[in-house]
Amino acid sequence: MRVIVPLQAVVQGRGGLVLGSLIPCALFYFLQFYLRRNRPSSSSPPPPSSASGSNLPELASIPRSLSRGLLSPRGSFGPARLSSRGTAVARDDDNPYYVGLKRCADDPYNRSTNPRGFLPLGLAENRLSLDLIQDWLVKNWKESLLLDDEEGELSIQGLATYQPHDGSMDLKKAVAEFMGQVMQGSVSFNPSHVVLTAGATPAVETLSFCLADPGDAFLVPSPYYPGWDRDIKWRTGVELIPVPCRSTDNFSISIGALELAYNQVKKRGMKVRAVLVSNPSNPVGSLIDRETHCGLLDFVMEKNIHLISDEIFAGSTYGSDKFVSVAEVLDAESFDKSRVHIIYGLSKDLSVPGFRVGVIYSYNENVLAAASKLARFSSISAPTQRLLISMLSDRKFITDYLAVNRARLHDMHALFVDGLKQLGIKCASSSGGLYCWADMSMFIRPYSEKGELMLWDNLLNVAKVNVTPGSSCHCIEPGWFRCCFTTLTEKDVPTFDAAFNLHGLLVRQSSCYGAHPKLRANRSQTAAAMATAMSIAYHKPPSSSSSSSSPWSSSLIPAPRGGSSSASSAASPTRREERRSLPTAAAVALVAGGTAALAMAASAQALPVDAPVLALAALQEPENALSLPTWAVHVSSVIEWVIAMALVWQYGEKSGFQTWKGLTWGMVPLLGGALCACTWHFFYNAESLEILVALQSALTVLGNMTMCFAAFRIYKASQEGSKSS
Amino acid sequence: MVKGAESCVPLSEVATSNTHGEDSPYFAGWKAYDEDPYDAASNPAGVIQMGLAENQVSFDLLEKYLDQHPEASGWGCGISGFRENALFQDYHGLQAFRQEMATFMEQIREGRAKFDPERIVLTAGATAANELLTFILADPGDCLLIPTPYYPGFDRDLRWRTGVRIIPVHCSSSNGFQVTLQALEDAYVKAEGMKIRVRGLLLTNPSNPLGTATTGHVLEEVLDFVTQKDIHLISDEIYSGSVFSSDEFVSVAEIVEARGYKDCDRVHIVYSLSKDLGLPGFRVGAIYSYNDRVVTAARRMSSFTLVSSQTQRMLASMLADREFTETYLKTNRERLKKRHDFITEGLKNAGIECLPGNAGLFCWMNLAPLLEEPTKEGELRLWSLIVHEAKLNISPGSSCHCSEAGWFRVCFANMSQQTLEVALRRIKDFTENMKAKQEK
Repeated sequence: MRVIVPLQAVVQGRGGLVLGSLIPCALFYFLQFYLRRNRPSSSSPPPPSSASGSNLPELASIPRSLSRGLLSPRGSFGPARLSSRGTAVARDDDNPYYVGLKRCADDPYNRSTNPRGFLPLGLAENRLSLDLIQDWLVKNWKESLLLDDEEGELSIQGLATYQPHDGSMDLKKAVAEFMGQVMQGSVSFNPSHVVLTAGATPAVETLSFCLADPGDAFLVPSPYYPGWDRDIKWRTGVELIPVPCRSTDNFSISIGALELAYNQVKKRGMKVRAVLVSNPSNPVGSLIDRETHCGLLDFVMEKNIHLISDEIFAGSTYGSDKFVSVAEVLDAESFDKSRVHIIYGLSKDLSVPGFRVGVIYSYNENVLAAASKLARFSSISAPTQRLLISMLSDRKFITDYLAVNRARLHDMHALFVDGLKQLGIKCASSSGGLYCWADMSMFIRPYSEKGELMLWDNLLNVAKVNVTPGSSCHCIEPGWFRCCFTTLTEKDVPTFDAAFNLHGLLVRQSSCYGAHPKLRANRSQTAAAMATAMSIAYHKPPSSSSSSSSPWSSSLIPAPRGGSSSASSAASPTRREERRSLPTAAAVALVAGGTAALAMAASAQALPVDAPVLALAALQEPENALSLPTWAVHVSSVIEWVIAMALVWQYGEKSGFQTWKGLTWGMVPLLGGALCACTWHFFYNAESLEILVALQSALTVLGNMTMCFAAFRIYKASQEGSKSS
Repeated sequence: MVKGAESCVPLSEVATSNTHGEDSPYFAGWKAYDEDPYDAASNPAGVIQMGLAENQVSFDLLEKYLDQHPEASGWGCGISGFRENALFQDYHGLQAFRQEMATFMEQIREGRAKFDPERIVLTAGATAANELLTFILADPGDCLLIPTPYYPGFDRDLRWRTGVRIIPVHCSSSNGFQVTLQALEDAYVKAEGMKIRVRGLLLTNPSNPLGTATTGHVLEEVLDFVTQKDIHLISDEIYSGSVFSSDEFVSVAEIVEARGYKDCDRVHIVYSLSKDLGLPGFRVGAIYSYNDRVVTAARRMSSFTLVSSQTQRMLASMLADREFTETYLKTNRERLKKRHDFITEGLKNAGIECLPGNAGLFCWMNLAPLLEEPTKEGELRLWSLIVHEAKLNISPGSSCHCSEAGWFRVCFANMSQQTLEVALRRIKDFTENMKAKQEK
């Protein structure tokens, strides 16, 4: 017991308390500081442009202020100041959604010309039915674009001159009809309620400008489309309040959660102006059913706010559930229509995002009047309008197109989801959209946003697959990813699968060394092979993988891209051998679950590791190192327990109530728990030390019980004391 | 239902305010035209539209080009590029098109200035370009200085959604409405007095509605002024190719180059194909900024106002035809000058003076002698007579914030020669009537 007695000296007197907590804290700070300083390569951030470089350092080093620019007015930024919104927009975007899109755009995957490029699963664009559009254009572009229908002569008059900013009436009619067709005739749209803009992005922004003043808020069930944070917030000054949905009910909208969020926002003194939903949901892909529609409409009526329904994927449904537009519900029931606005566009359902056609469909005359004036800032080019009028007026073509597109979406979705399933990844049940919402939470470590971003980073930089992490969509559960499958062809799916598989692995493997970049960059054959083996060991029963009868695994073996991908070529030749060593790998994995010490040895053995890599890993600080403030919190929790124990002990001694000393004893497990946490973090959350996490939890439970017991003893003692007196 | 809705679901200030300014005479004249448009055959007594700065004098050249190059209007080289094109939604804009835009802008300035395609941000029209720059350069409550008279649409385009204010820089007829340092200084002091932060100066060069190009000397002064005040300069040069003689136009780009790009990060140029190429329906505008951060921010924000990929492709091949663009620019300049001379001559015959102009699709006409009283009200009364009696839709100077009463903008490029002759006859009759009345 006397172990803590020396500490008593520190806490004697009033200043002792302050000093006692400050000094150890400061010492630990400096120790950390010293350690950091002496890790040469980590102090200089890695070059962001390097292809194999990680994106996490970029994330970590976002400039939070422009204070440097302010200090030196003639600095590199120059003296000309921008507005605060301009500055905010110009600032480097750290959102993984955009980081990933950029990487993809810089080095896009192409089966024949650039097989090592990034697989673009981040952008929801539909390439499945482009051939149909192309065929139509080949046949019809001449007639549709330049020749005047009546005279059969060239006429530029109607193209070149100023046109109505909110779209020509002909195109409005054609689009309204197309929307009706997309909804399979369940509802008809009135062209005079249509305002056309250059894409759905300006459509949703324009609508936001009409409905809310700066500082007002929209409630948005989350996960939601990551682009909204830019599209809506940037210029309108409107706040988006995520209303979390849960995986337990497939992320469906809960009116109760909306109610709760509404009240919270109100308490903060903000005005809620609208509820913004997407149907089919982006990123989940689920549909809003009639009941939920009614619930939403009741809710917005009760609160006297608007409802914006983004139905841009309405025609891209593939499931058995029927899509129900909010317009359909409005037609059937007696709700106030003037508060309902629909966003639509031709980018997804007609797969011509380049043509920039977005639709605001509103039942509110005032909104329509304002929006059609605002459309002057984002009008559609006249030749494009002309082209689309002819295309959309070709009813037969459109009917065929929609049917074929749905069928292809359905097949691709099935293929893709099935592929993920083979890898042990489940998707949320979905009926629409160009993406699926995949649950990879079993791959992430730690189970938090940080772990999710590490996995995303690995997928991007190692597997070269760009997917959208749930955190970008404000999903409150970590580990969900949006994967768009319509940018691939069927032949690409195995590629994706292979890339993905390769990674599944690297994550767990690299986590032993705290996701060290050097390690991740090391795509040596052995590493890939071991990784594959480990991932199988973790996620598949050995029997199924050794039989390897599934088309998915077999498609992996004969390097589907002719051995051109480093990922698959690295994995495939060695894979068969590794199969043989599977039991070994599985055993290794099992042992790893057992004891920390053994796991350390196992991983050292499992990894191909050249001594230099190990040495590097030890020297350099990985990205998942705790920040100094987080360290401070952890360390002070240890110190606080020590101080509390000392104070209670002293009290017991001075007051003579010996039972109080029992309380100090009761605290010992808690102190142990805090030490466990510190130790685990000190080794960069090494997977091999995960036993410490379990130990810490156990000690906390035990500590709570011992404290309880000690408190009970004090209570008893005081009872007896009062009796005896 | 709608009425009820109005009182019940609240809308934003943007939707309910009048900042769009479409109640002003500038727009009222348009309404008069829309209700009763002139047509030589079917409605010879209708209102002639002279309030629309649209260039139709060279349509035949465009039509001829498209006739000879049918593939340009489609997908460029056959259909091969279709996939990329239909999907193309990158806010950087088509590389080929930006390259051609840069070359075209150089061509207009006859090689006196260089443009880097990487600094070009495409927008759906110059309206959006101007608004975008305002969003980036100024915060709500800040202001831009704009020399008067200025394009009436600025009141809406620059203020409506951005919340930015406009402080006019008053120019007077005594020096042909040229911008002076004194006027700039006065406006700046006025803004300071109102405790409004000045963020920039917007200069339309050549000026709309004056139809004059800013001289190199004035440009130098303006650039010094913005540097001294540490504010931005937006140079709206959408009429640069509509200067009758190319050597009469000095672009701010030339001055920036001559100064070795010193302090150039405060200079931004707005351009568009609506006026010079006569293609407003194509909605192609561009921002050219010397400031990297502005380029970045503008590029990202341009996702709200992208140009259709089909149109980009079409124009890229059109602008790439050097022979066509050269002939076009030359012929267009000549034709505009001819039109301009014709109308000023005709107005002179009617006893009306115009500000000597050298650019644009309009002239700046002085009807002050016909005013009953030299005030804004007097001007609007006269304007109302012109719209409803002479049946000409022209834009009153007061809608352009002109500080002197009696000036009007008359557009001459959006109609045929015959219609222009009818319009001139109407003006002549009208002024003679007015003068007769005044003499009585």
